[in-house]
Amino acid sequence: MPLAIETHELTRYFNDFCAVGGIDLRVEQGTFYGFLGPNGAGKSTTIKMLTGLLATSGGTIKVLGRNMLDARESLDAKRHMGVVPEDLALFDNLTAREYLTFVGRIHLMPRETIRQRCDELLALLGLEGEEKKLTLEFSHGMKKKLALAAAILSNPDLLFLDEPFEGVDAVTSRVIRDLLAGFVARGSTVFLTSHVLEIVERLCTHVGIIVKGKLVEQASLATIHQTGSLEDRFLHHAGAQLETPHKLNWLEEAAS
Amino acid sequence: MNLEHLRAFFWLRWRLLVNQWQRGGRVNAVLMIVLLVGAIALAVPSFVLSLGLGVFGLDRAEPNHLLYIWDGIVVAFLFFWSLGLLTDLQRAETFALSKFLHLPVPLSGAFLINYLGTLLRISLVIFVPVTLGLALGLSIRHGLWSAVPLVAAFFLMITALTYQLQGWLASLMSNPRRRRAIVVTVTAVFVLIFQLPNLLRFIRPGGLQQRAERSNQMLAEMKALERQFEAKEIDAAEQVRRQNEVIERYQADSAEAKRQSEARWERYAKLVNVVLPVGWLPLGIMTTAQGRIVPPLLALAGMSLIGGGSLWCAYRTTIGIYQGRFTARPASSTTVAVAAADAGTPASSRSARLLEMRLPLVSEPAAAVALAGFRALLRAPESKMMLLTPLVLGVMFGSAVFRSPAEGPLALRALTGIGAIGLGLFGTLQTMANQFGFDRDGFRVYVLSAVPRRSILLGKNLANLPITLGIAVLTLVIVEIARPLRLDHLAAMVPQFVSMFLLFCLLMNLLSIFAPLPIAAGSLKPAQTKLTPALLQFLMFATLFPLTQVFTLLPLGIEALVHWQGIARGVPIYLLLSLVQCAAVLLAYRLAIALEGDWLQAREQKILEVVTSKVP
Ligand SMILES: Nc1ncnc2c1ncn2[C@@H]1O[C@H](COP(=O)(O)OP(=O)(O)O)[C@@H](O)[C@H]1O
Ligand SMILES: [Mg+2]
Repeated sequence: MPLAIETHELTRYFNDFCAVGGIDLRVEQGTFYGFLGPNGAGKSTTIKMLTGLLATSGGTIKVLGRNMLDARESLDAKRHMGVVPEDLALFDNLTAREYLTFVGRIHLMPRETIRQRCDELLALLGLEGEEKKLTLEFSHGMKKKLALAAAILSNPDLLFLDEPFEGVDAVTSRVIRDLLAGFVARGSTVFLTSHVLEIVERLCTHVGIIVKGKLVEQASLATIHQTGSLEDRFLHHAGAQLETPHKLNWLEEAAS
Repeated sequence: MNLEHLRAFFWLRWRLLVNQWQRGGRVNAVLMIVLLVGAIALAVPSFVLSLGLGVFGLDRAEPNHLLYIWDGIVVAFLFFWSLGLLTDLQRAETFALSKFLHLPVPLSGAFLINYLGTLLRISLVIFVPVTLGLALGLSIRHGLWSAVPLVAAFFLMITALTYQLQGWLASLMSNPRRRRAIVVTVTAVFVLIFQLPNLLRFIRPGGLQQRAERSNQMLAEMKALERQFEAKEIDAAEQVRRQNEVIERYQADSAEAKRQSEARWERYAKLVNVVLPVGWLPLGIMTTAQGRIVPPLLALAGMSLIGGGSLWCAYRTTIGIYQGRFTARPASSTTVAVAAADAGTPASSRSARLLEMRLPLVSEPAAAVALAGFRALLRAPESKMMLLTPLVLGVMFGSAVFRSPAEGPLALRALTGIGAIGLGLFGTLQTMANQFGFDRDGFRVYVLSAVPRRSILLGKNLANLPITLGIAVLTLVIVEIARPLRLDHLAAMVPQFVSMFLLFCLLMNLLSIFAPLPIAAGSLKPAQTKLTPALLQFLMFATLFPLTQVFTLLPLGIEALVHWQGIARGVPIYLLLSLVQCAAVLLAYRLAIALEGDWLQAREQKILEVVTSKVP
C-alpha cells in the first residue's frame, strides 16, 4: 500500500519550547487515521506542518508522494488535499455560498459542478436556511460545517481534519461520520485529530497517539484490540500521573 | 465590596494592560511603560507649572481671555479624550462587566470599580494636574472661588457620559454586524468633526477674500492718484496728502473689520459655550472673574447634575442587564426568522453570481480571488470608512481646482488630471498596503491552495481596481468640468492610469508581503504597532513611492519641454509616450509579479502567523 503521509523526525520548536519532537508518521492510503492526544500534545501543530500552514523546525514531510518542503511539489500536493484547520479558514464578509463558490473556482472546478455540489453540501449539513448570513454571524458549529463543506467540495484524495467534531451537534456529527466513512470506503484517506478517545475508537482504522510532542504509539486499531483496549493504551501513555491518584481532600469534606 | 475585592480588580486591570503591551513585543512594552512613567512624572511638574501660571502669569488677563484659555484647554482635552475612546472602541474588549456578574461581588461595587477603571487613561493623567493646578492658582491669586469645583464637575460629567456611551454602545454591539457598523460610524463622525474646520476654511475663505478686496481697492486708489499726478491734475503735495488719507482710511477700515470679526468670534464663542455643556467650565470661570455669582453656580449645578444623572442611568442599565432585561432582543430573532423564510430563494444564490463571473484575460483562480476580495471590500464597513479620506481630500482638491486661475498652461491642467488619478490610488492605500491583513483567518485558504502565488497577487490587485478607478474617474470628471483638458491629454489619462496603478500595485505587494500587519475585525487600525513593519512602510512611502510615481510624469514633462522649445507643436507627444510607457510598465508588471509570487510563497507561513495573531 503506498503512503499518503510520511514524515521523518518532524520537529517544531516555539522559542525553546518543543511542541513536536521528532515524530515519524506513516499513514497508508485508504486508511482512516486518528491522531489522538491530550490537550496541548502537539496535534494541531503537527497538522499545520503537514498541510503547509506552519514552517517546520526540522525533519521531512511527504504527502501523497510529494515533498511538502519544496515550493513546487507542495503546490502539487495541495491540489489533491482538503483541510479543516484548527481556526478554520473562512472570510468574515462572505456568505456560505459565496465562500464555496470561491473555493471551487480556486480548485478550477466548472461552475455547474460547483453550484450542484454547493446545493447538496449546504442541504446535507443543514446550512441551507442560512444563506443570507455572513460567516461572521455564524455560530462556531456552523462555521465548522462550512469549513468541512469547503474541504470536501473538490473531492480530494486526502482530507485533514483538526478536531472536526468539536462544537458540532449530534445530528450533524452523525452526518459527518457517515460522509467520512463513505469517503474512506472508496479509497481516499482521512487524517483526523481528536482528544476524544471514543471518536477515534468508533471511526478510525489506524491510530497514532501523541503525548507531549512524542509519537508514543502507531498501529492499526485491530492490532491494538488484540492486546487490550485503546483506552488502556491511551491512559498508559497519557495518564501516567494517574497511577499515584491525586485526591482533592477538601472537595471530599462535607459541605459547610 | 471590600478592600480585597478592590485590590483584586485593580490588579486585574493592570495585568490586562501589561499583557496587552507585551504582546506587541518587548520594545513596545518598554516604550509604553516609559510613556506611563513619563506621564506620571510629568504630572507633578505640570501641576506646579500651571499652579504658577495661575498665580503669577495671568495678572492682566481679562475675563474674556480666561474664557478663551479654558476653551482651548477643553478642546485639547476633548481631542485626546476622544482619541483614547476610539482606541478602546476598536479594541472592543474593555472591562466587560458581564464577566464578573457570576462572582460573589455586590453589583454597586462592581459598577463603581468598572467606572473607576475607565479613568485610567493617559489623557486624564495629563490634563487633570494641569487643569487643577491652573484652577487652584486662579482661585488663590484672583479669588476665583468656583474654579476648582467647576473643574471637578467637568471631569465628572465627561467621564460619566463617556461611561454611559460606552455601555450603550457595548449593548448595541452584541450583534457582530451591528458592532462593526457602530465602530465605523463613530469613527467616521469623529473624523468628520475634526476635519470640519478644514473643510469650512476651504469652502468659505470669507475673511481672506475681504482683506484682498480691501487692499486691491487701496492699490487702485493709489494708482488713480498717480495717474492724476502724471496728468498734472494735482501737485506733489496734494498727492502725498491724498495718499496719506487713503492709507489712513485703509488702516481704519482694516482695524474696524478686525474689530468686527473679533466681536463676531466672541459672540460665536460665547454662544457655543452657553449651548454646549462642555463650555460651561470656561463660562463659569469667566463669569466668576466678572464678579457674578449666579452663572458659575448654575454651571456647577448643571455639570454635576449631568454627570450624576448619567452615572445613575448607567447604573440602572447595569442592573437591567444583570436581571436579564436587555439581553434578549426580539428584533434580532425576527430578522433571523425572516432570513430563514426567504432562504433557498434564487436571491441568495444570485449574490453568489458575482463570484461566478469570468474576467477577461485573467486566469480562473485570479478572477476568483479578485471577485471574492471585491465582494468582501464592498461589504466590510471598514472599507467604507476608508473612503472618507479621499472624500475629504477630494473636496479640498475640487475647491482648489475651481479656485485656480482659469487660463493656466495646458500641461498644468494635465497635471491636475494626474493628481486626480493619484487621489484614486490614495483611496485604497490602506487596504493595498496590507492586502492580506484584512483576510485574517481567510488567508489560510491561500496558503492551503494550489494556486500559483502570482495569481493570488494579481487577483488581490484587481479587487482594489474598481474603487481606485471609481475615485479617479469621479475626480477627473470634476477636473474636466472645471478646467477641461485638451482631448489628447484626456485620452492620455487612460495609459497614465494603467501605468500609475500597476506601479502602485507592485510596490504595495512588496509591502503586503514583507510588512504585513494584523488588523482587528471591524477596524482599519493595525492591532499592534511594531517597529520594523512601521519603519518599512514609512521608508517605502518616503522614497520608493514618489520615485516610481515620478517616473510616470516623464511623458508629460517631455511634451511640455519639447513644446516649450517650440518644436513639434501639434504632435500629441504626451499621449504617444504614455502609451509606450504603459506597454513597458505592463511588461514589467508581468515579470515582477512572478517574482513577487515566489516571495509570497516563501513568506506565506510568516504572513499567516502575523495576520491571524489574535488581537489583545
Ligand atoms: N504559536 C504558538 N506559540 C507558542 N506556543 C505554541 C504555539 N502554538 C502552539 N503552541 C504550544 O504548543 C503545544 C501544542 O499545541 P497544539 O498543537 O495546539 O496542541 P493540541 O494537541 O491540543 O492541538 C501547546 O503547549 C501550545 O501551548
Ligand atoms: Mg488542537
